[in-house]
This record gives sequence, C-alpha cells and structure tokens, in this order.
Amino acid sequence: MISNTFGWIGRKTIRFFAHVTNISYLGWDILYWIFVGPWVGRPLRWRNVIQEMDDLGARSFPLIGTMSVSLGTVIIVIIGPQFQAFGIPDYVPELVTVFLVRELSPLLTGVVLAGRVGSMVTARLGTMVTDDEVLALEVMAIEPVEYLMVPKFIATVVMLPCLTILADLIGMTTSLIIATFGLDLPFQSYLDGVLGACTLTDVTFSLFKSVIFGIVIILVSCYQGVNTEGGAEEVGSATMVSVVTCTISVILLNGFMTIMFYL
Amino acid sequence: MIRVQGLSKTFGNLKVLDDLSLTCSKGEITAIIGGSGGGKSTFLKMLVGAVKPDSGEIWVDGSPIHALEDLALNDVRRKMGVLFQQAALFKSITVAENVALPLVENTDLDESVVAIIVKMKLDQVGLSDFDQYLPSQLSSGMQRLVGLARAIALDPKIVLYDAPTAGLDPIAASAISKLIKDLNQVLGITSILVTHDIMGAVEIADHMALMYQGRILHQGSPEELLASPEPSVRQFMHGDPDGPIQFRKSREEYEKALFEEAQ
Repeated sequence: MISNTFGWIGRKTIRFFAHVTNISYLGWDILYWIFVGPWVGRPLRWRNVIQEMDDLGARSFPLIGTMSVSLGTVIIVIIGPQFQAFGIPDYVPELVTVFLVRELSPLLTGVVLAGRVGSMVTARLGTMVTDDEVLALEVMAIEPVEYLMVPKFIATVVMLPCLTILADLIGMTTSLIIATFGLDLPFQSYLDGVLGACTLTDVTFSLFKSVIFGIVIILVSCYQGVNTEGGAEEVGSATMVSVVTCTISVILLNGFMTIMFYL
Repeated sequence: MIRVQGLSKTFGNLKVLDDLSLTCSKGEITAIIGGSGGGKSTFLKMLVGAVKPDSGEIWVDGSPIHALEDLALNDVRRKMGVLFQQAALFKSITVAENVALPLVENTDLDESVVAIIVKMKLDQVGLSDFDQYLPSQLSSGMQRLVGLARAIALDPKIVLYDAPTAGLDPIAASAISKLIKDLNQVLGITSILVTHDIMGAVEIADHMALMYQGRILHQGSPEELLASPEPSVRQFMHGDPDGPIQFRKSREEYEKALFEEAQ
C-alpha cells in the first residue's frame, strides 16, 4: 500500500517535470521565432497578431468589465461601512486600491483569461491536430509553432496586462461611484485617497504578474492543444485539463509572487 | 525518385513497419494497397519526414529524408504535395485562401500572381466557381479536390495521396482517379497512392505493391498482380475474406485465446 502510494507520487512527479520541460522547450521555440525568426526571413505576422488580440483579448472585455464592476462594488460595500463604523473612512480608498491594483484585478483577470484563452486555444489547436491540419502545415514546409502559436503568444502576453489595467480602472471607478453616492464619502477626498495610494510600484507589480500569467496561460494552452491525440473526446479532455492547469497555475503563481513581493 | 530501404517502425508494442523496402520510379504512379491498419498512412508520413523511422533509409529525389534536419527537410517538402484522407483543409479560411497558402508561405510571388495561380489550380480540379466558399460548405469529394489543388499549388515533382477515393461515391471517386492520372501524364508528376480501392488503382497505377503487416508482400504491374497465382495476392485482389491473409482469428485460435485468458 505504502509502496504503491510512493510509486504513484513518483510517477506523477516525473510526469509533471516532463510536462514542465516540454512546455519550456515550446517556450524557447516561440521565443526563437519572435526574436530570431524575423532575421532569418520569417517576419512576425502582425495581421494574425491583431486578429488574435481581438479574439483572445478584446472579446474578453465584456467579461472582465462585468467582473470588475462587481468586484469594485463588493469591496466598497463590505469595507466602507466597517471603516465608517470605526471612524476611519479615510483608509477606505487606500485599502480598496491596494486590494484591486495589487491583488484582485491581476488575479481575477488571469483566472478569467485562463478559462477563456485556455479553452479557446486548446480546443482550436487540438481540433487542428486531430483533423491533420497541423500535419498539413508541416508538409507544406510551414512551421506550426511560428504560424499558429507565435501570434497567440504575443496577443495573450500583450492583452492580459491591458485588460488588467482596464479591470483596475473599472473597479476603482465603480468603488468611487458607490462610495460617493452610496456611502456619502466625499468625492474629492476619496479620489485623492485613490490617487495617493496607487503607486508606480503597485501598478508595475500588477502588470508584471499579468505578463507572467499570460505567458503561463498561452504556453499551457498551446502545449495541451498540440499534444492532443484521438478525436472529439480527447479534444474535450485536453481543453478541460488546459483550463484547470491554467487556473491553478495562475492562483499558485499569484500567491507565490505576492509572498515574494511582501517578503 | 523515391527509394525506401529496410524501413522499420514500432509504436509501443505494435510493429507498424517491418523491414519495408520499395522503389518508386520517376513519373510513375505507384499504388500501395493493403488492409486497414497495415501501416500505409504511417509510411506516407515517413516519406514527408513527419514520422521518423526506427531504422532504415528513405531517399526522395536524392535527399536522405531519414537524416535531414527541419530546414533541409522543408526544402524537400516544397518539392512534394500531399492529399490527405480527409483533405485537412483549414476550416476557417476560404477555398482560395487554402490553395494560396503554400504559395504565400513559400514564395515571394505578388498577390495578383498568387490569385492567378490559385484560379488555374482550381480550374484544373474543376472548382473555380467555389473559390470563395468555406470548406464546410463543400461535399467531402469537393473538399478532396480542393486538397488536391492545394497539393499541386507549388507544382511539385511528387504527390502523395492518402486514400483519395475512400468514402466517395463512384462518380466522385472516378473523377479524382482521372485527375491523378491526368496530372501524372500531363505534368509528369511522380505519384504514390495509398488506397483500398483495388479497381481504381488497377486502372491508373503503373506499379502496385501489396502491403501486409508492415511489409511489402508482392509488387509488380497491375496486370501481374491481377494474374498472380500467389494465394495472398489473389485473396486481396479479389477481396476474399478467407485465405492466407487473416483479418480475424480462426475458430481454433479464438478458443485457444479464450482458454488462455480464463487461466
């Protein structure tokens, strides 16, 4: 029983590191096509990048917007009255800003994109693999990593920080409106509090986290997609594994980076 | 033109190719026939370098496919076209864009020249009126014709066909067979055809090879194979379920396997 358990843990650990190694190789391959490709006659496909930015990023805006409005409302509604009761309403904007900018906006934007990008990219690539479309690219002397994955990589890594900034702005604007009209906090002092609390370090840290989330999400999604074998059922399984892996990775990485930042 | 020597490939415990040797002459149509799961499609993938053999050599137009790295392999791939069993067209782009893809990616031709070539290729397969259709709007026979137009877009010296007539109605199947013959006669394209359609292959092939359990059992002209007294060749050419080529276990073997399983 014990040896079985250790065996199971050992196998899972080996498989985990094999996946991490393969994902790293895929990452290097993508970086090669971004930074070296244009010098060896393979310019970046900006038209495809913009199309992917629209597909993977801009179309996520309604979801991110709704989430941010809800987030800004919930935080101010919970924190505001408590701080007012303790007679320290001046700390409300600072706390809301730190929560939103440093933690909640990058984390939740990452989680939302993990679901949306993870499912979309893995399902698309997985279907292309099972329908022999990726093989068709290879036999036409077209590099699948360069043609399919590089535009998705650039689009995700650029759009996730952009969406995080939008989430910050929408969340803080919502909290400002609720604080002013719902909790009777003075507009000007709340705004000054928000602007005073929002430091460059916070914004930089938030964007740094978003970029890391974007890299992890797109690499995991592409990896799961191109390693799909079989048919519709396997594409579904790969998509599910991709979304779960991306979401867990974003949550764990967020915790790790926040601890490192505060320590 | 194409020479394969001692090719072997194993997936897990399954030996797919077993010391396979075959030579395909320039300008000829070579048809490889054999049962399902006999390794024919794997063999085609090896010819384009998409699957590496465990041992053996593949020479295509003087280049050692088995030993080439990606860049050199792509140079050889540009001389080849492949028609996949399910056409493997890109579903999100139009017929014209599908046919244009190898030209756009592998040449510096002007857009207007590409458009003319695409029209010519679609004319050759009789689908010039369908250039703005999406692949999903076409029948499977028409999709395969588009796949053929894409396969010949770069005017390849060699075209590989993976079961081009499988699952098609007799008229569509004979239209594709006729096109393969025409391309061979008019353009001098060397063709390798993997098929279960014995009569279709007999009509158009210059040379036929019967593949069974990863080996070439017999080869020769279609007339030689049809007239062969060899029981295995006769069985396959005449579609007889009983004979030396076993498609299922005999009653004795089945009983023995059951008995062993019970023990």
